[in-house]
Amino acid sequence: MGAWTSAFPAGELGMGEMKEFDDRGEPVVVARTEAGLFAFEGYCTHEECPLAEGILTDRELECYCHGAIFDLRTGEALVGPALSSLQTYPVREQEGEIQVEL
Amino acid sequence: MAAFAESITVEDLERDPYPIYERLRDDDPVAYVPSVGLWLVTRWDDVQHIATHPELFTAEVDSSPLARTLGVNVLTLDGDAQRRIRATMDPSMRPRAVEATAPDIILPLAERYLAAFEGRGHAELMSEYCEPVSVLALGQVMGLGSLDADTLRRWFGDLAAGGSNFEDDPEKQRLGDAASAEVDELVGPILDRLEREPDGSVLSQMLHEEPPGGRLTRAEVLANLKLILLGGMQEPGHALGITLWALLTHRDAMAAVLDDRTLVRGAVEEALRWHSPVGTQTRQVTEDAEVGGVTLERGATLAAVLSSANRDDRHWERAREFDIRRRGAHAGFGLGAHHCAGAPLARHEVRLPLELLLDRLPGLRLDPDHEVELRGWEFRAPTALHVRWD
Repeated sequence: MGAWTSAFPAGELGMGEMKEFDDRGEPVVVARTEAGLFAFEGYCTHEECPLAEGILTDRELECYCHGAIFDLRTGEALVGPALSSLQTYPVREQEGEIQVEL
Repeated sequence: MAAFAESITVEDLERDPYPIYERLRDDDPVAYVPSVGLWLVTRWDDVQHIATHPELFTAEVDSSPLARTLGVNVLTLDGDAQRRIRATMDPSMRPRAVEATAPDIILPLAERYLAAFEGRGHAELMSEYCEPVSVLALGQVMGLGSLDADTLRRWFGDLAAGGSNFEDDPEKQRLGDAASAEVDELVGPILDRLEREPDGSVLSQMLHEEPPGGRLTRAEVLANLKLILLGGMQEPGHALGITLWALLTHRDAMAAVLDDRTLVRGAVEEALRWHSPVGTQTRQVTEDAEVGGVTLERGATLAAVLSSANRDDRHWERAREFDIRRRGAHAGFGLGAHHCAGAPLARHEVRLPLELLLDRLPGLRLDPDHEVELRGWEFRAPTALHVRWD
């Protein structure tokens, strides 16, 4: 089990938005959709394009560079060119903060 | 097992490579096939290894029929040279850019060609729909809207003959070279105009973009344009034909897609896995290197067989089955840094015309008077797709 880490105030992440935070030299992206909160590594597993610039739907994220699509919940690469899954992290909203278990 | 590999003919591969690949995957997964002068690498893990180790398996192939026919292009380069060219193409091919522009180009074309046969009750979809929509859509996106569909279709057919001429057939090379020269002649004036008057098309962007390493030369723009013509015009139409054929031969899948259009994406992706329109990525070995337990000597030329990797049951469950709910990314658009730049556009060129047909042709089915034949191992598609509807 990792440690719960405060990412940023919950009010900074609206519905349908993504926000990146980085407190260990590796960015993590948090997304809020109608399906919930999701947290995952910051770069696409294909060519390391920043995923915070991707295209978000309720349950999927499309990389803005080459169109790889990932399952937000599991991180699974659903559509290439990415073949490897994204690392995902437990995430919660607590006491006005977004917290990620890293 | 070398005897089997030695017995494989080009015609065997053209007719149906899948039983051949299955046997090679099981018994001889890195096999030299004399008829095409290539090592065929057929398992998923080996194909992925090759695609992700360009320092060992370079796209800069001495004997590449693609480079011979089109000129040195982004598919026959690696590293900074490849990234320099991709930097001039990629911005206009990104998902958001394609979503903003492609539907307004593709849907009117699809409507126009559908209107020509909608009241007839039967059609041959490859020549009457899939190929012309694919060709003209890319022509417009590229900035070649002034050229007619027949010229563009002839170009991609002849460039494909030369570009896949691994067996050094002189007639195929003649066709490819003649088309290549004609592209130079007819596109030259268009480039002159775009030099003076940039118009936002892909061709205009390739001329004017200033990537690290400097702007592309005229010769580089033309060589890469030919590559885009070859891959971009032919393959989305072929992918559409394959997807239609797959759905028309799998009634449950067709019924599910008709009932729930969110399944279209999965159907298209699965069709691209199940019968991949583009068969291989060609590579040359830069130093003695092992792949799949076989040591290949420096200079050896190999085909990483994408279409075989997509059927490898070491990687896929029930690899032979067409399952529109399958999960996992396939290799149909290539792997690694050479993944198809136009994939987001190609996906639109398949999905949008497919959905239009499903909406407008009730009871769509194969015409029982015409058997469907697929051909090709480097570029694979139905030769014709005769259908009827109510």
